[in-house]
Amino acid sequence: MQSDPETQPKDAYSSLDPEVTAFQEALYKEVVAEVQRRRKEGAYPPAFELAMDKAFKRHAPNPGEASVYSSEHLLDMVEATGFIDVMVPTKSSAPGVSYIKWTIKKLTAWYFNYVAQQISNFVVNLVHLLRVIHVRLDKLERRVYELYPEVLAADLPPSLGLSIAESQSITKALSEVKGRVLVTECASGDALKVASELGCDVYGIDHREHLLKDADQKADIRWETLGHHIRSLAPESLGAVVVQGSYELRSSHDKTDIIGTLYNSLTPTGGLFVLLFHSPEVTGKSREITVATELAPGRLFSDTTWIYALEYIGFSVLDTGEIAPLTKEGVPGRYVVATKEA
Amino acid sequence: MSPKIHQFIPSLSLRDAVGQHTLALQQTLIEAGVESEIYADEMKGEARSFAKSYREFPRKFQEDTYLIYQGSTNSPMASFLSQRHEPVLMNYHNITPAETVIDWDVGTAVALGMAVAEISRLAPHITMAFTVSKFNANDLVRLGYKNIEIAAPFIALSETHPRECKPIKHGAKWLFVGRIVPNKAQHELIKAFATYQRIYDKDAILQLVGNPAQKKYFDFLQAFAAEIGVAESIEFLGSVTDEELSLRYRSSDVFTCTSRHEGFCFPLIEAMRNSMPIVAYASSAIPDTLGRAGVLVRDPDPISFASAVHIALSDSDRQLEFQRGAAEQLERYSIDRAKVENLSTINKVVKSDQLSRYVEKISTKKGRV
Repeated sequence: MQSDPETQPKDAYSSLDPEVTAFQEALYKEVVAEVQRRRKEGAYPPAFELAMDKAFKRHAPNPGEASVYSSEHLLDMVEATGFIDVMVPTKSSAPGVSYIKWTIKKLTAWYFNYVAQQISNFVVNLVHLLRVIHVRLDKLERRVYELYPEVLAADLPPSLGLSIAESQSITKALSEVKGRVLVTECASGDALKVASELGCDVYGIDHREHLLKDADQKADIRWETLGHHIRSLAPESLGAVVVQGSYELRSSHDKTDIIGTLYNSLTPTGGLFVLLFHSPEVTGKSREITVATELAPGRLFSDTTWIYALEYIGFSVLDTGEIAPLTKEGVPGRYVVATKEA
Repeated sequence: MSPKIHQFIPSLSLRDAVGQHTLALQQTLIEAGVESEIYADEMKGEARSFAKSYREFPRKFQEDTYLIYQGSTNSPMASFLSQRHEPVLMNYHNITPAETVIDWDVGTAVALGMAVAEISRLAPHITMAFTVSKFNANDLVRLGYKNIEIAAPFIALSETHPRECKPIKHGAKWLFVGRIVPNKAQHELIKAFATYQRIYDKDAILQLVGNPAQKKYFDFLQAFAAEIGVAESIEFLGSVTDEELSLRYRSSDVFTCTSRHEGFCFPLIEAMRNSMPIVAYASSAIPDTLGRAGVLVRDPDPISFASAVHIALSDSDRQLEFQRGAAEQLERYSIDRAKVENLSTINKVVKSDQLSRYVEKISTKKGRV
């Protein structure tokens, strides 16, 4: 479900007096408990939420569409105002002034016509140049948009799905988390289910709508992309994040950008970060893994690089190790458990 | 010698909150013995008899005169005031961020962006700024203002209506009052309402009172409601008379608000006067205005909002708590309090004994000295 950073709690609560804050905090806990209860009953299945989101997107204007229109509109305005009218009005209610104005206009017309012509020529050429740039930029934007689904299509093969159920290091850390837990690409793997069984206030996101019918209908799953979701997260609003899935196949820049944004969304007092990944050696383990990893925009990172990146961003690494595959035919992966320094 | 305090408002309307605030402030200044006129750029209908065109304001510097600008939109008045030598005070009423409307109405978004830039350019010329909420005060800081005070708004008087506290489990009537514009986010309300119908009460209805100011958004809401199957349970009532509005407040069960941006949110006060439980997203100035008179929904998702409405409606003890919270807020935003806070604030610049005596008189009357 789309959310808006403006409506997030941090700014909204900052100005309240402590008694009101305590009153609203108590109500908030009741609301969260009621939401969890209803979700567990299956009263609010992901399919219903997804259907509302789809209906919304079908009827709402595309984000950014207006800004394209806006630049065209602005160019029209520049072009319209670039025309300089030298036919100065000469009417006047004062006697004789109208004649004086008319005379000045006649005497200076040759000069103003000359200057106005040059300014108009300049504006026409400038607007023409801007229109060319606008068209080229528009084409470029469309091309990038067309490429975007291909990047998303580079999903991790099912054989690279991982299971956290047997990893004591991860389950112990998750069981101690205070605050909401986010699991990325939650429709594969068991992190959402395990975290829920550990008593966490957990929700997941996933962009692969074809997995909807097999997903847990009682779980809190938002069907959106990782990129969209993390942009809407309020700072310091999460207790923990479990990151898994196709983020691994993204470019180095994308990966560090995602981790950096998630770092900001974690609570400063012990926010937990669990990273599930595969070392570069998995390439070649099977045909589908080789194709997926070689066609991906980015390459897989080893433990060393992940630890370097996490520490560079500000995390303290607590533990790292091997993690079991989700299925018998699968390939084991690696994990890092880290925490946000206060 | 008595000071003169004149107000400048871009557009004076007797029905909107800024217009009513301006007229009430003028009345209060006159009661305090101060000469006070309203100057406007645009005046609609009957408003013409309450204000003069700002072009009629004397060109020469006016001794012992203070000017208050009711900043709420862009206007040639801003440039006019920046060239005056009298002290100018800014009474800021907030401007909707352009990004909340740009996908729906580029023209409005451009105008909003211009208004923000204009208010910001005026900052160096302002002796002091005052506004109705901490949220607005933060806005002013971002716009480059330094000397900022908070003073309660003047809210038109209306009766309070008691209400029996009782659980409502069937056929709940939701109400929202506000123009149909993207920043009021009625689409979020429709999502939450559809969720509530599905989980709790299939016979619930949603009433949306307000002028459909942006046709594209209004058409979208109708199409969206139809597609998710709740169109028949939603009443788009448009603008209504004061009597009809009052009736809607009294006959509805819960006031619901998913607005993304409010500088104060006056309909919440009207809901409190009607002893209604309130459920609202915790955005912008809403938490400050709501206090303990309802539920603030922190997670902007439909199920949280629907669950909050269920909690508010299903427990009569809770409703009583909200009514007590509403009484606190109504006292905080009473007319006398608005008079004291606004005049005390203005007097920090004017420094008039006459204003001080009047403030003391009202404070004594209310037992707050």
